[in-house]
Amino acid sequence: MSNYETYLAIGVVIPLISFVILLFFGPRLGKPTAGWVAVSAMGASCVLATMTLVGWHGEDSIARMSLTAAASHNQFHWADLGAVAVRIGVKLDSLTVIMFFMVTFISFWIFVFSIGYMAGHSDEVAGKSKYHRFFCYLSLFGFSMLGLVVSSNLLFLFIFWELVGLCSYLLIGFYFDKKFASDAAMKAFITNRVGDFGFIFGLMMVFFFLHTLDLDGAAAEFAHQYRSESGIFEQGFVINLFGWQLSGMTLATAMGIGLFCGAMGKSAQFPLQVWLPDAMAGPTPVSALIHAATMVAAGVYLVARVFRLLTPDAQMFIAVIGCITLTLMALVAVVQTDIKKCLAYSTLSQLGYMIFGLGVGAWIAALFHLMTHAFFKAMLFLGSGQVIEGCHHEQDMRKMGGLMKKMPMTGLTFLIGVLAISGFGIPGMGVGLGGYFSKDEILAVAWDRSYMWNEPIEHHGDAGHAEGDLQSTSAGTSVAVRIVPEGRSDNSPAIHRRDPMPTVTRSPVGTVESTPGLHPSLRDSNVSGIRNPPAINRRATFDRPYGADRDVAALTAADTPDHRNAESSFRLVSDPHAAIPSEPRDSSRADAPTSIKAGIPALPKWLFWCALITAYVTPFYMMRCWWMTFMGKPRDQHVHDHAHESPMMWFPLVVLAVFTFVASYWVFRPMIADAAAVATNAVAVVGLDGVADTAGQAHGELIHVHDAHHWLATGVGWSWLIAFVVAFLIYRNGLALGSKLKALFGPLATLLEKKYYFDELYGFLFVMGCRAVAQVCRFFDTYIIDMFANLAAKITERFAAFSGRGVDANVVDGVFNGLAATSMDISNLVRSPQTGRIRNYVLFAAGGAAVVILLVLFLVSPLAPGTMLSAINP
Amino acid sequence: MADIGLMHYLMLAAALFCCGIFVMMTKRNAIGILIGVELVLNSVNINFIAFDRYRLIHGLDGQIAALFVILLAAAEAAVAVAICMNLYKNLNTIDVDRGDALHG
Amino acid sequence: MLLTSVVFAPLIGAIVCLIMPKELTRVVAVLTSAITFALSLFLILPFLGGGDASRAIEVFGGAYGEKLHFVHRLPWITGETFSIEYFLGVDGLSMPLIVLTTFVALLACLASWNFNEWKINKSIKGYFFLFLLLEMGMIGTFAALNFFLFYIFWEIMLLPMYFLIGVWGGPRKEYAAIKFFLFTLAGSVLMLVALVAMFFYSGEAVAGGAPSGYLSGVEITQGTFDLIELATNDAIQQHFGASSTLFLGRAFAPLMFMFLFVGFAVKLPAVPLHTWLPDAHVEAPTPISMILAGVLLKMGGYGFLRLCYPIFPTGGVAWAGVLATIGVVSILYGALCAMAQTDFKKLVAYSSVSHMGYVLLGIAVMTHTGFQGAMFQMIAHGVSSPMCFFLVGVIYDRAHHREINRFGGLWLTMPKYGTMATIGFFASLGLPGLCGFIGEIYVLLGTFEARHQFAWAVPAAILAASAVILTAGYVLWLIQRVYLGPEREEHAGFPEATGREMLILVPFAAFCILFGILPKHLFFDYVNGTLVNIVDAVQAATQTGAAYAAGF
Repeated sequence: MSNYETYLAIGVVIPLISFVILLFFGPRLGKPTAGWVAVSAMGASCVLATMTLVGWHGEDSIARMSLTAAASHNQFHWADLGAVAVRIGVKLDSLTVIMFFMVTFISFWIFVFSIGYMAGHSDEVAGKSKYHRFFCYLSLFGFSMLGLVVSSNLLFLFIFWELVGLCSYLLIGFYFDKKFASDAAMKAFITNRVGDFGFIFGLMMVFFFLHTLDLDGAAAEFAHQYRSESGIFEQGFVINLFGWQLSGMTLATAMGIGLFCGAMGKSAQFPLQVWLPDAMAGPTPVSALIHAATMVAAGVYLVARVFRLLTPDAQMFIAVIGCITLTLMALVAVVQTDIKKCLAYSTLSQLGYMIFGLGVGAWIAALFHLMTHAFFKAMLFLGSGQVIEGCHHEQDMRKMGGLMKKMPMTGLTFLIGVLAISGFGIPGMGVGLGGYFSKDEILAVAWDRSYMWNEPIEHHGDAGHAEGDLQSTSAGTSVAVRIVPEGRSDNSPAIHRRDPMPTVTRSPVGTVESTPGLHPSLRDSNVSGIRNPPAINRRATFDRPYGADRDVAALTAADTPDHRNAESSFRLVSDPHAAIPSEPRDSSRADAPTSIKAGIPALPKWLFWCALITAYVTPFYMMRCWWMTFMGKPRDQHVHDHAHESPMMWFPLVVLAVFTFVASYWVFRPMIADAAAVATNAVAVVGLDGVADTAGQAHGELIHVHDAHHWLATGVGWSWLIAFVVAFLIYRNGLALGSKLKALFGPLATLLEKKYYFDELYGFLFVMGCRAVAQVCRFFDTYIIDMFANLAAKITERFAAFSGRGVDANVVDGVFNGLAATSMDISNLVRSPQTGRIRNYVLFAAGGAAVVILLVLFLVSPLAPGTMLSAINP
Repeated sequence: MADIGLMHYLMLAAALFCCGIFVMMTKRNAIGILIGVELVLNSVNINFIAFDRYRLIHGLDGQIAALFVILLAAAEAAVAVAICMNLYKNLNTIDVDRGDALHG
Repeated sequence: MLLTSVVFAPLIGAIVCLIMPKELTRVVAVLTSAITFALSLFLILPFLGGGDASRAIEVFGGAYGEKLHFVHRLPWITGETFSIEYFLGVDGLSMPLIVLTTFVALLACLASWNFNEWKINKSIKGYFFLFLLLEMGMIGTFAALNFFLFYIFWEIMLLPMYFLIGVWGGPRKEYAAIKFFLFTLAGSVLMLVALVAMFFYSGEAVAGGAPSGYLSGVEITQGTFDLIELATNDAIQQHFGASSTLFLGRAFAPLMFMFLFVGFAVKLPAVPLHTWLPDAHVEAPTPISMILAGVLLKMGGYGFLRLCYPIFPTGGVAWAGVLATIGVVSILYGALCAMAQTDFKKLVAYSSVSHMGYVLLGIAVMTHTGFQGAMFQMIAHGVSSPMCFFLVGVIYDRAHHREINRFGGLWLTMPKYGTMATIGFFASLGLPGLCGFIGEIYVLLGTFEARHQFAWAVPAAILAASAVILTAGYVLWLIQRVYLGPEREEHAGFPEATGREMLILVPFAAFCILFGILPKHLFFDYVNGTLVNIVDAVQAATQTGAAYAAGF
């Protein structure tokens, strides 16, 4: 076990220990101490995470690969699914490290904030202190979320997935004596369960297709199936489902969509978005931590993790869902008056951006957006918590205004958050906050996919361009992959991209190859389904043996703001020498057919335009929110008088603000880009190859997309300014103009205020529907099924009527009473000879015996009486 | 007169059996009925022994069975007498016809 | 001998209960259950290390029936043409269920401790006597490997249950008891037919003499009740499985399978034979509900795994679709019915129907994962549902009613109890990390896995998976109505869970969590080998079965 792995494992366990301590000794620890226990536990985790991050940052990419590989060997055999072993371990790669750091860091500061928050807030539920409970749940959440991040196995990911859901349930319902809180908690959990249903379906499909639930193993198997002649993607592979002929591709798409359904639940994507705004019923730190920064991002994280299993269609589905969410929710945010609800809808919209980004293939940008969003959204929520706390539990922005003077730190940090989420930056100079880069990058890729998607062309760099050697180790295969940087010419990627080459096919197989060979140390690993894979070696551009250019590592090179890349676009080329020499090679398979593996389609253009327009909406509502709260004249004197801020609460804000400023681009972006190399390599086989081709970029060569689409860069880049100005013009003199505009839009505004009537629709359709069906079932059970039992009894009872009792009330009395009566009747009949007198019985017995003997002798027995006697007399 | 054969034993047993049955049928006194039962059991014993003697049963099974019956009879008598005692205690009589509390 | 003493220890205790003065009865009963539990723990010993591949053969044997532990066999009733043996033994299938039985019985016995506080204060001696008799019957059923003996224990179990419900039950106890009795009896009648038929048909099969299936060097020449022999003897298996073997003009194996199935399905209970369960649960006193849910329902699943599948694998194939349909219907229908209930206990009872549907589904698909899941689900349900029933009982002791809508805010009134309730009901909900999840996910994956064999496997798995939403719906709604919300005045005086109650709840909760976290090390290592052997045997017979299903 490497140090990092140990750090991460311990980092996961510490919050669990804190949870256990608080669970058993919480009441005794009392009010501030219990909180400090949780804080110090999370702090310890955070220190470990920082150590890991720093150490990891110092490793070169080759070392990272081998550490990742080593971690994947080091697993605990948890259970067996049939013959398939389920192993759990720490998934150690750049993405894990950075997510881990993000979660612990934000959690730590939110825990600190919580102490301040709970000091002034009621921790009592119906007069009983629940202070320790709060931190107890928070610790459990920390444990679950960290577990989710480090899980190397989909099943375990799912387990932690549900645990964070549980924590969310418990924390939303923290003030469970209030009906709305428990309602919201229930709604959150059940809505998530709907998504989980899809997730379970996805798990089943993964298990079905890929025979493993291990993330890497599944990805490797997926890639293998993709390449294999007899894999599930071949024409011949069809499943007959009651007459439906489902091809392997369809099923794989269903698998991807199934897994994504889980993300739809947790990340509150359309149409399961309904729970997140309600979840704001929980205490504000909870909203910040769980429902803005970490848990809701878990869905995005999941999609990123299973990115390698997504087919082009599934990606398209994801993109569409993300786009719908980001657009619809941003519009709702415009009309919100509750400060937390406004932030909640903005969270939904931003999550939509991330999902959209993943859907269009902007893996790096989406995760980068996740990171930056986590920081500034946590900060925004904490700021709103400070405001709410300071304003005496007032959440309505219409009653605020002019708080800047009273809460300067909050207002300032809030403004930074607003700027960050709005994508503040100066185009052309490479200066901006995190949101600026991440959102622009998503949009750039979307534009690329929509408009630059004519002929995905494949390029061949020459051998000299070998930059890195990337070994993706999984439970069954060791794929030696090379990254070929191509189209290095930064200034003309688009031209290069369009360069028509007659030999080009859109087949990804042509561009991405690898040589799966059984890694010696894994040869006996318990993964079924990997059958002596063909050593495909069709377009090997390299002859050098595996490892020869290990030292050439430029994976994170040139990672500056000016070198932003549309995608993890890199080329994977097989290395014939990577296979273990002793491994038998099937040369006859060298030219395996490419078959149906079509490339990915171009994006519908409306997706891009929706996302682009929303980029203008976002700064507008955020600025509106800030302005209404902090600027202008105080609208409610009482609230204004009460307003104050406390250092315990604004200090975390400042820390997060600093991080929003500093760390976002220069630390996170390269790390994520580094993770992309491993996390997406297999999917490049299916989904990203097109992007890889189009962008024509080596991974180590992060191209500045902005330069390629300058008008786009300018258009998006300045969106924040335009929207800010609009918001300022509308709200600078109070709310009057806003109300007028609202009246102008009339029904549309109502539609938005009612959140498109989703709650009503679902309430009617599903909640009422389900209860109605349940009532029908109950009726059926009580009356119909029992009726059959009764019927049997009744028939017997009719029969019994002949015994002399006659048909009377018994019949009406029904079921088993009737049966009882029947037995009574029969016994009455039978008991008439039962006189209770022994002599009668003896008489019957003797008489009966005599009759039987006579019968036997003369009728039944074949023996005549004479023979009987002779048998007795020898 | 021929030798006494199996048939004779069986006749005796049958006669005894009929006596026992008769006693059981006619007596109202519990002890009397008990005696009838004993007669019946002993008639069975005679049968067993007789069959055994004339090798109609394998090995010593007949004798063993007879021993079992005797044992059983003893146990049964003990139980029956106890019942009689209880009957007397409750009803002040051992007339079995009077013990009709369970008669439905 | 150890196994025999585990089986009959409760009987001795029951007799001692009768002798002891009234005041000591419950002490004796608890002691007896405790001793039985302790003894039963020894049964685990030979299975230690079973997860280790090198030890697996040693522990479980290479084939079904090859390795049995604690075998105790004596000739019992012998005649010229038949011999009935007293034959007890455990393998990976029965061991966990026996331990579960003694465990639940011990805790249920503790739950009866406040017997005198029940309003219906009737003969405490009779109660504990019957209780321990019931325990004996249950352990015996799981331990018996002779069908005749099995049947006897099966029926022994029935009677005490009838009285325990009928005498110590609630207002409609007679109705519930008779309903329970009649349903179960109807099932056992068919089982009896199967018992006799199997004996005579196996006699036909080995008429000329045949080597024993699992006892080396033994030749059998007459019909047998030996459950292992019936499953492993080639001659018998061939005769049973041949489509020319007829019973009442029907193919033998599927018909017998169905006869046995009906008997076990009543116990399971599977829709539509389940209506006795809610009534019985509602009327039964709390400890009896715990036993009923925790152990009695497992008899059905155990019966499938011990009798139906090993002996009539072809029948299993022929009926797989029907069984899976019943399973899926049970899952969904039980969940929907549970959602509509207003009686707390009835809700939990219907949730049992839903959960046991997973067992049936997992078994019906005949895959390794499915069997594992079914077995785990039995144990998981055996831990979580008695806990839920006890949770209901605790509340009933205080409120004397069970109307869900009249509760509320109990978490505030009784925080410790509320925490326990959360664990119990979330385990029942199937929250990952708790025991309910493992069984469900295994069954679902196992069902999916069977897609090669059955076209319906995929839709069945999806339908069954959709129950996770329904389950979450009714459990959370229940929690909201009973435990959340503002504190109610009429509950203000409710005392917190007592030490005794916590003593019962904590072990249950602990196992709910432990089984959820370490399923392999706490459970699968001890049973997998046997399950694999059964599935392998069943799958081997599938070839013939497929052709067979077409003919039937």
